[in-house]
Formats: sequence, structure tokens, C-alpha cells
Amino acid sequence: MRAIPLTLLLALSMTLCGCDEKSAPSATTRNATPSDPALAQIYVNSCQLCHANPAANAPLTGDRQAWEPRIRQGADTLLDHAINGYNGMPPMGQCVECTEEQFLQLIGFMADQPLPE
Amino acid sequence: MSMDLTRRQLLQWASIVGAFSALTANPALGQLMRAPRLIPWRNWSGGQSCLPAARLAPKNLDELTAAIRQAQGKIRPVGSAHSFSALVPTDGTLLSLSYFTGLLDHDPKTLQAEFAAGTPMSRMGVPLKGVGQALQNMADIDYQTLAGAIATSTHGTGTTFQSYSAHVCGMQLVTANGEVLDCDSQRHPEVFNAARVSLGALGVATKIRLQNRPAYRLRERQWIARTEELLEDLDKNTRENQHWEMLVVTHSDYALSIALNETSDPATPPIPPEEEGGNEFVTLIEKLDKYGSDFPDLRRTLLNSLRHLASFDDRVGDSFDIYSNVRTVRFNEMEYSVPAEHGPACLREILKLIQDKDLRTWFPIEYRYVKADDIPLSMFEGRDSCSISVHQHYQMDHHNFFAAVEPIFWKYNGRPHWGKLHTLNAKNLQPLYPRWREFVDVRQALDPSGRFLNAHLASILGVN
Repeated sequence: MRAIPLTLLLALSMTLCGCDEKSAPSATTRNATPSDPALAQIYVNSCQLCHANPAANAPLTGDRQAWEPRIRQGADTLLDHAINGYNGMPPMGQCVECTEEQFLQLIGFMADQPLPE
Repeated sequence: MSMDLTRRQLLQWASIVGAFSALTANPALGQLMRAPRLIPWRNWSGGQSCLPAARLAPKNLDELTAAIRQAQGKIRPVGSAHSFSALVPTDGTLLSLSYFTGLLDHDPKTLQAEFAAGTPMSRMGVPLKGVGQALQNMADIDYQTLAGAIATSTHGTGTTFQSYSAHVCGMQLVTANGEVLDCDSQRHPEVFNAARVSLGALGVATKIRLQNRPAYRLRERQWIARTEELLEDLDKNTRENQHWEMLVVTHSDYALSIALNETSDPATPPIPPEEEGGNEFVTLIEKLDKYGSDFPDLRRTLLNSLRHLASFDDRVGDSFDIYSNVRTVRFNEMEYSVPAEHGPACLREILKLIQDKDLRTWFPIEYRYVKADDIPLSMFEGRDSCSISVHQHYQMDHHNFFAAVEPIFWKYNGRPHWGKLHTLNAKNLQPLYPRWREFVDVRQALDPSGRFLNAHLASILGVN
């Protein structure tokens, strides 16, 4: 849906859901992959579809600003959301075989910052 | 803060520390305590879950066959976890094909291409375009893996287009005893026929060969109209458009009509990401439901008035880009396919029920057409079909809503989508499938001890 009249619809939608402006990283940043080949394979198969696609409404890879409030929730919460799903985030991020350590590594890579202990 | 402890408290602490020391001194218990905790598996909506003893992702065929031979208990293959029904849950071994991805082979003369079975549908379009091919039709989401989509007869829309499964012309299976079986219309044809829609009950598919067509572009046209008008114009809409469907906005009188047709026109510029997939519209009607469900007449008026705010530009692009949409709002889904001629009556009855009972739901109902095929366990076996899908937000209870609607599907001889929610078992399902026996016999021959069966599969296939 698009075109000028839709802006009214969007404005109403934004009012109702309390959305706000989001920053977006460059395409180069969000198309980055982990340097570890094994982790990169998981990232490409499972995470990239949403976390490198602005339309997916997920925090984008390399978007430190978008990840900041999430990182502040702590590693346990992030791990819980990754494993059990949260809002649009599907459980396990569609990586069936991922270990808890791999989930945390992937989150750290996408957030482009270390996770708190 | 005072740390004064009574003698009684000191003794309690001492006994706890002593017990912990004894436990960790025991090698077996110590090992158990250091082992990684079991992680639950959940499907995309979160509605299905299990705690598997093992989650394996073999890296090649040798590892896969070894994993199947050595697995203790039940084995369930899992793709992208996008099935809403309980096809996957097991307390045994979950087998992921995440290392079985990519285009393996292609033939420019026959326009056939072979993919590793774990390839996500979202990653097939670009490599296929690179060899001049494209899938003949696609569903409106592409999160599924190829093996998962094939196993459940996943489909798009179009009266002259069949499901993904109907375009399979060969596959490789690893069976319950670890045997590698290559099958097509010439080699093991009875297995091939059954395996084109297998629910993952015959073995683990590793390679799938598809009959494709030359790469193409599509033009997407969308418009809002009264649902009744769209139903009255069905023949025109389905005849004049290669792919036509509608999304009926519940508790309103209107639907979004979507038509896709092949074109040689140049691609249009990409649309802003936030406008892709109509997710903002879904969010809006969710809010209208939240604040307006106590005032049904007002809600209907508001929903009906949304048509004045929306307009649509045509979109042209590569077929795989136009078919698929991003879904940012999770949901649970029930879908039945009824004989094509019963589609309008079935939909009208569902909409009347929702209005009369003021059923709590706000997700649009998806209404599509699929051409008949000849696969024993396909929902479209032997009959052109109309597929009607009802949805419920993943945080809203779906049981009452789906339970109210499901008998309407039964009345019209509907067959449930294997990957979506339903309450039928083998006793109800067998009469719906004239070639049921063909599948059951192949399954019994390939997996007599039921290694690939979980409780749901045993129930729907009638295996004790």
C-alpha cells in the first residue's frame, strides 16, 4: 500500500501504535556477515532474512542505535527472546541447531557491540 | 544490613553447602550439572513446542545417514518451523537440513533445477534467475525451506497453477534405515508419488529437482472492493488474472483484491521498506480491534471507511520479489481447501458466522485458488480447489475461533492444509483422500517401526 493518501492511514497507524522514527545503517553495514565461517553460515541461513531487511521491522545488523535498548536488557533477556521468540522475532530465529553460545555470538555480531555479562 | 545468623540458620546453610559439595564430587552428577541445558524448540508462531533430546544439523550426506542410523527414539526433520500443526514436535531427535542448501544442478534444455532440500524458498529466486529459470508459482511468504514446502503441499494462487509439490520431478530420500533412495517417475515411482507430499513421514529429503520455467517479471495490481462484489466477479477476476486472491477484512464489508500477471514491462522502483507487505495495514486493523471490539457497529464503519484512505501503485519486478511478502506480525492459521465451486458459499458462511457471533478476530481471511494435481496426499488431489485461510494473532487464543469455523469447512468437504491447524484424525481424513492407501502402504514399507512418526503424525495417519 502506498501513495499520498496512505500517509493519512500511516499517520493514524503511527498514532495508534506509538511508533517512532528509526535510524538505519547503510546497506554495506547491514549486509555484513560474521568473520567466523560457521557462524556466518548460520547467520545467512537464519538471521539475515529479517535482520538485513528494513521491511522486516527487526533491528538491523550494525544498527547500534536500534540495538542499544535491547542490549541494556541484558544477555539473559536477549537469549530468552532469541530462544522463545518475542513479538515479530520467531523462536530460535529459525536456527534449530544453535547453541546458547551461538545465539549470544550472533546477537553480539548484529548489535555490533559486546553483550553485558 | 545485619548478617546475624541464628545457630539453626547456620546449620541449614552448612547442610546445603555439604550437600552441594557431595553432588559435585560425584563425577556423573558433576558432568550432568556442567552439560548445556536442553533448549526448547518452538514453531514460528510459538504455538507448538517440544524439548528434544538432540538437535542435529548434519553437514553432509554421510553425517545425515549416520545420524539417522544412530538416533535414539523418534526422528523429526525440521525446516524453518513454519508449520502451525504439530508435524515437528518430538522428545527424540530434531534433524535440521540447514547445511543442505543451494542450487546443485540445472538443465537449460528441460528448465529443471536441483536444489539441496534445506534451501529456504527466499534464497531460490536469485540463483534460479542466474540460470534463466524461475519457479512457476510461489506462495505469498517465502520463509519455508524447500523440503518443508514440498512436504506439506504449500501453494500460491491461480486457477491454472498447482502447488510446489506438483512441480517436483525427482528427489533423494534418506529412509529410516539410513538407505539413500533416488526416486522419480522411473525409479521407485510409487515412493516418488508419495514423497511429493510426505509430511516428512517417509524419510529425510536431501535433494529436490523441480520443473521450472523461464525467468519472468510480474505486475502486481491491488484494489479494495466490497467482498460481495469480488465474489460476484470471481469468474472475471480468475479468468483475466494469472494469479488472483483476496484478503477479506473481517468485521468489515471489504476486501483487498490482489492480481499478479506476467509482464515484459521494466521493474518499478523499490517501495519504501515500511510499506512492504501491508504490515502497517495489519497493525492498524489490530488497533481498531483492540479499541473498537466493544463497539462492533462503530468498528465496522471505521474499517469500511479505510478504503477511502488507501490507494495503490502497481508494482513490477522479478517474479520471486513480487510473490513474496515480509510478515512482521506472527499468527496462527487454519486453512482448508474446498472444491473450487464451493469457495464462495464457504467464505460467505464463515463471514456470516463471524458477524452473527461477533467472533473475536481481526486478521484478514485469505482466499485463493489452486489447480488439481495427482499426488496421493495432496490437498488438491483430483480436484480444483479454493483454499480459505483464517488467522489469529499469536498472542490471542485461537481455539474458540477456529473451533467455530472448522465445521463449516467440513460441511463443504474441505481438506485441511497439512502444515496448518486442524482437529481431524485418520478416521476423518481417509475418506477425503481417494488415494490414501497408496501413501499409507509406502510409509509402512519404508518405516515399519515408525521412526519418523510423532504423536500428531500417528494420529492423522492412523498408526498405532
